Amino acid sequence: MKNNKNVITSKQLIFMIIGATIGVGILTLASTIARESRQDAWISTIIGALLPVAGLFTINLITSRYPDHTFAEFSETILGKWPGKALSLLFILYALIFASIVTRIFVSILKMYLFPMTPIWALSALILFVAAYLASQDARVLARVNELMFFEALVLFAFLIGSAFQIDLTFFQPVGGSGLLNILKGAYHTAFSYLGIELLLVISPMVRNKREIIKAGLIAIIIITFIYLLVVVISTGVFGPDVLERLRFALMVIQKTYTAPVIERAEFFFIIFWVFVAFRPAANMYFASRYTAQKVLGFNSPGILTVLLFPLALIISLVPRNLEQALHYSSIIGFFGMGFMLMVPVFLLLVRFIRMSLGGKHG
Amino acid sequence: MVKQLLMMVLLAVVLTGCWDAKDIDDLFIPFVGGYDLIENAGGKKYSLTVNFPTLSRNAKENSDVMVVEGETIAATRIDRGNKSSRGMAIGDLRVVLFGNDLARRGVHDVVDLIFRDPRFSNTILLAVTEVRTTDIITIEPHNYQTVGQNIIDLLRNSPKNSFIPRERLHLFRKDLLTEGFNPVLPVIGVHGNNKLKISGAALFKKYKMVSQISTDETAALVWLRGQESYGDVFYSFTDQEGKTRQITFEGQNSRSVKAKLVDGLPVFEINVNLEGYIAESIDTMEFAGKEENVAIAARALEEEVRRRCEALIYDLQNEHRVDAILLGRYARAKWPPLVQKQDWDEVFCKSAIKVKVNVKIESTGEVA
Repeated sequence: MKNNKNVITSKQLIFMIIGATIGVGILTLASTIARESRQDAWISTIIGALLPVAGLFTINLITSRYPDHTFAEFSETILGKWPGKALSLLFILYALIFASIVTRIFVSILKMYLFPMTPIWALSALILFVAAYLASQDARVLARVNELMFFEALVLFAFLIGSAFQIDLTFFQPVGGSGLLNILKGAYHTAFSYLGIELLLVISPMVRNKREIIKAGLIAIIIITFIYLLVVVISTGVFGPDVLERLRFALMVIQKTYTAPVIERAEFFFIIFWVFVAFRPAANMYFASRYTAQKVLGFNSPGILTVLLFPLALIISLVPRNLEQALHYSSIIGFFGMGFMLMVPVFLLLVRFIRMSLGGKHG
Repeated sequence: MVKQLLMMVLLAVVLTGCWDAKDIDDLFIPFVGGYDLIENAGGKKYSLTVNFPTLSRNAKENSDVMVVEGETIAATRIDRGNKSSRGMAIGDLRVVLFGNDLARRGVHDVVDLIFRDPRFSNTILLAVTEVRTTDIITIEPHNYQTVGQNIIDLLRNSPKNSFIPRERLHLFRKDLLTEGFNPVLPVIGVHGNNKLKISGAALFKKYKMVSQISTDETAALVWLRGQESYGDVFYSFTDQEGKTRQITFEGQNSRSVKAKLVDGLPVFEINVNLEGYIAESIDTMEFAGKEENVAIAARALEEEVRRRCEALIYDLQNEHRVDAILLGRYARAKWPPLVQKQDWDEVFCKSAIKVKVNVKIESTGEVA
C-alpha cells in the first residue's frame, strides 16, 4: 500500500479479526447452540470453528493473487468494470447493514438492561457515531483501537470466572448424548457467530507481511474459538441445558447469579466493559463499507464518505420494529456474510480461471 | 480546536442519559416482597405485599408496607401505580416470599415475571411463609428498623448457623426447569411475640409445594441434598458403661453419591460427611488422651445421622413421593430416559437408597 497509514501488522490483523467477529452474538451464543445440541454445545462450538477456517483459506486463495488490491479492485479486474462495481456495491451494502443491525441489537440489549426510557434512535445514533468516527480513520488507527479494546475486554473474563465456581459437571453428561445430527445443527448455528473474517477481503492488502495472513487468521480463530468455548462451557455448567435453552442472553444472566465482595450487581459492570466489545464489529464493518465505497467511487475523502453513509446506517438500524426482528434480519445478513466468506471468493477464482483459460489478462 | 469543542458538546449532550435519570426521591426501595393467592367467590387474585424503608425525614415510621392486588402478578403493578406516589426500584429487592396457599397451588404464575424482568437479580433469596406473606411482612420487629431487614438477616445467615436450605432465584430456576431436579425452600414462621423463625422446609414437585417438613427433618434434607451448610446436631447415646451421654456436635456437611442401575432400577449410595467439633458433652465424656472416646462419639453421631436420613428417605419415598434430595441429578447424567421419558419422582420412590455417614471430629474443645 502506498499510504502507510493504511498498513497494519499481522499482529494487528489478529485483533481486527477478533474485533469484527466477537460482538453481540456472544450474549446469545450459548443458548442458541444449547437449543439444538444441549449438553454437547461445546462440541458444536468447536465444529463451528471449521467454517471461519474454511473462509480464511478461501479468501486467501483470491487475495493472495492480488496482494496489493482490495476487494473492490480485484473484483473489477476479474469481472470487468461494471459487474465488479456491482459486486462491490453489494459488499458495501452488506457491510453497512451488518454494522447497522449489530448496532440495533446492541442498542436493544442496552435499552433492556440499562436505558429503558432512552429512545432507540438516540442510542443508535450515539453508538453509530463512535463507530463512524473510527471508520473515518485509517486502518492503522482502527487496528490500534481493536488491539486496545481486546485487552480491555479481558476484564470480562474476570466476570466469567466469578461464576465458574457454580459449574455442575453432570450438566455435560452424557457426552454425545444429544446425537450427531443435533450437534451438527448446533454447529450450523455457531457458524453465524464466526462471521467477520470476510473483513479480510478488504484489509488483506493492508497487512505489511502478506505471508503471515494465514497464520494471523488462524491465531485469531483459535482465540475466538477459545473465548466462545469458555462462554459455552461456563453457561452450560452453570445453568444446565434445560435452563440454558430457555434464556435469551445467557451471558448476561450468568452475571446475575452471583455477588462479588465489592460488586453486588455484576451485570451492570459487565455491560460497561461489554460496550467496548460490542461496538467493534460495527466499527470494523462500517470501515469496510466506507473503504470499499471509496475504492469503487474513486473518491478519496474518508471523512465525507463516512458522513454520507451515516444517515443510511442510522435509518437501517431503526428499520427493525423490535429486537426479534433485528435478530431475524441478522440471520438473513448472516447468509450474505457466508456468501462473501466462501462463495464469492470461489466464484471470483472460477471466473478468473475461465477468463485466463480463454487468454485474458487478470492481474 | 473547533472539532474537539463540537465533540465535547455532543458527548456532553448524549452522555448525560437524561431520559433514564431517576431521582431517589421518586422511588421507594423494597427489601422484601411477598406474593399471596386470594381465592374467593369472585375467582382468584394475587396480592403483592412489599416492605420498604421510608426515606423522608418527616416520616413517623422507619418503614412502610404496601399491599397491591391484581388478576396476575404483573397486573398488581397497575394497582401499585394507583396506590403509590413513587416508582419501585425492583433491582433492590432482596427476598421474595411465597404465601403457603400460593405455594401449594403452584408458583408458576409468579416466577414467569421474576424470570422475565431483567431488573430482578438472580441472587434474590426465596422462602415460603407458614401463613400469608402479608401477615409476616406487616409484623413490627423489635430489633430491626424494618421487618425486611429481619427477613433478609434470617435467610442470609441461618444457613451459616444451622442446617437450613438456602435457595437463590438462580438455583430455584435450575431446580424448577431441569429434569430430575426439584426445589426446596425454607419456611418462615412466627414465634413468641412477633418474632420470626425458620420453621422447616417446603418440598416442591417442580412448581408446586407438596409438603412441609420439620426443622429436624430439614437438617437431614440438607445433608442428603448435599447443600454445604454449617450447624449443630444434638444427639444422645448409651455408652459401654451404660451411661447416657448427651452431645452437641458443631460442624459442616458435604455429600457424595454413587449410582448404578440394577434390574432397571437405580441404586444409590449416599455418603454424608460431617466434619467439626464437640460443642457440648453433658455427663462429660473424657476426651483428652482418649481417642477411643472420640471414636465412640463419632460412631454414635454417624448412627444418629444415618437414622435421621433413612427416616427422611422413607418419608420422601412413601409419603411426600418427591425426590427432594437431588438424586435426579445423577439419573439425568447416567440414564437420561429415566428422567426424560418417565416421572422421575416415581422412579425415585422405587429406587434403593443406602446412606453411609462419615463423621470426623476434629477437636473436643478446651475441656479435658
